[in-house]
Amino acid sequence: MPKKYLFSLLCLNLCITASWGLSTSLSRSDYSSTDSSELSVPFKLDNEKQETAPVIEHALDVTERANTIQKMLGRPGNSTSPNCINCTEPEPDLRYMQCNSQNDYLEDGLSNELNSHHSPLGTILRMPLQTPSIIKPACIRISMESRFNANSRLFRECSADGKQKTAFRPCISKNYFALVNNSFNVVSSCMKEFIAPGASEETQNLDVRAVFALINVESGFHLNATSTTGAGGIGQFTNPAIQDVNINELRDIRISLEGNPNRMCGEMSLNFLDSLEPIRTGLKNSCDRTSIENGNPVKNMIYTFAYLSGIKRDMDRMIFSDKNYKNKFALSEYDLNKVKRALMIWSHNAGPAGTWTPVKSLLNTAYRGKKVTNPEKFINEVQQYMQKFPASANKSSSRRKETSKYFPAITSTLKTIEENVGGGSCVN
Amino acid sequence: MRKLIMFIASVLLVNSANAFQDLQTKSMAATVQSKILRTSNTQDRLLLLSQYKDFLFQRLNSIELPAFEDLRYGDPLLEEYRSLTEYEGYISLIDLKDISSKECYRNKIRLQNSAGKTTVLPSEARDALKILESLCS
Repeated sequence: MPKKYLFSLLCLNLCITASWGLSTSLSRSDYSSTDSSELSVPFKLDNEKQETAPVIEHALDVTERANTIQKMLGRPGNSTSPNCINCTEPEPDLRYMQCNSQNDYLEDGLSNELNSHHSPLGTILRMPLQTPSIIKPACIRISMESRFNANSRLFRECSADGKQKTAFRPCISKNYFALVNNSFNVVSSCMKEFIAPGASEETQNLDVRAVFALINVESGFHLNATSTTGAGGIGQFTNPAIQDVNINELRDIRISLEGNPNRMCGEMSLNFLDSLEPIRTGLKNSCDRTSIENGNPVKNMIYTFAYLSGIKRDMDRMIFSDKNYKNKFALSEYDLNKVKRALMIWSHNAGPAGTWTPVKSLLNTAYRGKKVTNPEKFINEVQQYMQKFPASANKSSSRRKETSKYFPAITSTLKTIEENVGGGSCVN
Repeated sequence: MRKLIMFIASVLLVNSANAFQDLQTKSMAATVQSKILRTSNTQDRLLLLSQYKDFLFQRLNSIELPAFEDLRYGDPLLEEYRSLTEYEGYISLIDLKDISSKECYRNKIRLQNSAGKTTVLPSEARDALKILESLCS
């Protein structure tokens, strides 16, 4: 009898342990997967070499670098001009793909939007590419082309009844590029005040640049990119993130957009948040995050900015404005923003707890009685602390490696893009 | 049989070794929850939360750890400190403007989703939720 009892107890425990392990392996994919071939991991996980974290730094004064992707982009100087007031400059001479039957599945939907004069997405589609934008169209074009190859099948096509099937990377046609580029232009212009309220234009633009770098790695700016973990769309949203935005951010976004002096922002709120249902959680509602019919990519971009804004605000309250922690920083506002931006990006992959746990461990041990005076050094230390002080969700060896390398990978891919774009920076 | 018992004991130990064991913090958490439940005034409750946040910060700044280079991942000292820090983060995340069902729900969702898990909430988050629940009761 005792043997039988002990055996039952053992089985029960093994079940608990197995379910814990299973749930850990499932849930650790909430922010990103551990498979380097999937969406969120643009780097090899088995690479033991510790890459240090270059900071997303000041981009506006970087000198022009060699433009090696010029053939793809067409003639030189194809970035938009920040001084284009009437937008009478010629359109950038970007080269587009010839669609085929395997990758043209978005084209009908795009044509419908383009030809509909009542469609908010149609209005965005018809905007000229040379409209002043924070991020250069050339950078978005490089991202769409280079993040996934044309034969990648990490995409989903949504049918009219909301069902999904695996698809090739969508054809980067003129309409598709215009929709993605113009959507990011409109959303970033309207949401920059939400992500960096009251900050200087330079700070807001650098925050937008950080969001650009994140989306570049997460989805390559493809509205229907989907990970096997269930994350989907431009910002690779998971169920918890969607739930968080719906409950904690949507109301404030509406207030921010409707109070924005730019009339277009109020219209965006009306057309994409008030008139459409919020993005729903759950696998059966995956098309909410990806399909054009559900207001994407605009809606998913709004959610991406909103989620990152929420993370940034929490981190600010818990660390940078907290009466106990704020005294640990002796940085200029510019350098403090560098650190905040890095933690915001890191949180997208590591999760908020996965970021604050190593950061607070660092501040309360290595910086006990000392002040942070060098942002780059601090960010590199955070990277090391992610390996030894991970949050519970990131304790596995693969997650510790992945989370610690996430921010360096984001900055590294951004650097590659910026080396290949006119002006050496993606910020206009 | 002895081996089996030892194996079960080790499995149980692994399952329970996910949260901090710091007695001072655990004792203070129990005291704070008890005081909160005996206080009906909202501002007094929020003040107790603020004082508990300060306590946790001071506790983290008083525990001595070996040098970072000497700490190996999995070291019990490191795990204890890591867990306590994660818990302190969840507590500092609690941000109640008032004690209404809406504010409490918003905080609960944010706290749960900050863990980065959908199925199993870490014990540190569960402990923090108990503080939130006492505030919102």
